[in-house]
Amino acid sequence: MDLKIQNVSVSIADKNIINNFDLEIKSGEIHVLMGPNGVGKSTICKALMKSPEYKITNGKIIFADKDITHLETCEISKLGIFYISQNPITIEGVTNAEMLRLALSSKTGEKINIFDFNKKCNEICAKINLPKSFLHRAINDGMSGGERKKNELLHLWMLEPSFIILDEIDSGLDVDALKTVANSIMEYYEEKKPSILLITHHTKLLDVIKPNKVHILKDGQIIKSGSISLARNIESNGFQDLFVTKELGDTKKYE
Amino acid sequence: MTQKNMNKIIVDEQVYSLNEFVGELQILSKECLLHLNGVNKITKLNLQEHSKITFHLTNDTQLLINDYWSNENNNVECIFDTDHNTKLDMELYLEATKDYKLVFKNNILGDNNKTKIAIHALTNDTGKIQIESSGFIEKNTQNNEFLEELKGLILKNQPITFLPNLLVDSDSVLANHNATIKCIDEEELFYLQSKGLSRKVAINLIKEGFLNKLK
Repeated sequence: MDLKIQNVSVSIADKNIINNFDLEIKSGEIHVLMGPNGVGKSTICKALMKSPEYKITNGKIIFADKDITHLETCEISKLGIFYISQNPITIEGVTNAEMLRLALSSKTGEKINIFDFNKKCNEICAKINLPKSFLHRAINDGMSGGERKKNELLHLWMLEPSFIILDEIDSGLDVDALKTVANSIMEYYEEKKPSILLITHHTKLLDVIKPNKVHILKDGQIIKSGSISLARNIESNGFQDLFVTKELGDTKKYE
Repeated sequence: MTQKNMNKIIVDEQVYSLNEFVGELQILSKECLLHLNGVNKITKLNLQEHSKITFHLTNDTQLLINDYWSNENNNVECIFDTDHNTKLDMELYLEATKDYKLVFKNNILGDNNKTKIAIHALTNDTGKIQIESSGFIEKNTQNNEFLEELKGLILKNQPITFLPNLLVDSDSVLANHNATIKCIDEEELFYLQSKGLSRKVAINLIKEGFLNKLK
């Protein structure tokens, strides 16, 4: 489903972080946000999900032709937007199974058939190579970085979103875990054709999750958009060249 | 007169012995000394208000208490005296529907004892909680373990007070105690809401998880 971020400004504790930000992601497209630390990449994701500290002070966010700018987080989620943060938190005593059962029930508005639910959980655990025991473990409790990301994939496959926000999902993953996570996301993409907004610092992930567009952020603004070659160029040469050119006023680099 | 059936004992005496008991224990006397032998598991404990109960774990005894209190046992003192080679494992989940004032005293009197106390206390707007929990490791005792963890979660306006106290008079002991009290975590709420749960359902889920009701 299409997402349009129109002229959006975001502040945290009355400090403006993002000003007049625009981005359009069409149904089934994969977009990547890159940029140095602290330019506002995660702020955009959290503002989209209405994280309580992040206030949208201006502009509109339209998802599937619906204005979601002032919706609550759970309503945004129920519309099909799914968010994985770079450090998924632990929730003591709350099991994956219980949370997923409630989340699915909330999404469908119907009581969950426990046999169908268990069957689907078991199939997904097998698919992402996650022990079934994780279903009955507290969310992310005592899990390694790689296990936490796989645990989030369990939620992804169970909740079947149509728009996925991946905020540095590759952080803290070893080579094998990165491959597993990226392959699973791509398998989901091939099967369900969601739109994806991906934040990363490395192109390794983009070898598997092939983006339609790569955007470079500076000071809360997209200063350049391009194809995957833009990401590869940045990995080789860094952001400095790009930023210097922008400061000299060469705005023709926008695509 | 003490009454017994398969899973429940009602004690109405000041001194009583329990041996290999599994089930619900109700004590009607205001002061009671219980001598425990063998492996015992108390699944429900019912005490009189303002009562003082001493659990005496004799040599090689194990006592497991796993209980949830919401409006019972709101003003009681429990004393655990351990001899040698005992194991005490208490997990208590407390949800205050009225004011609670509890005292737990652990007296490690012999050698090779393992004591683990875990209390999760939760307040809403219906009652406050005060828990005084102390561990005393007797002089010249050897090879004891004493671990105590007190966790508090405040959902609305009623306070929680923990008074942890550890008195170690022996050089041969592994002793550890910690106490934390927090309000409901907005980050946890955001996480659950981002999966599609309403704020109300998310708060309830965090509460149920904290009180160990989801396992």
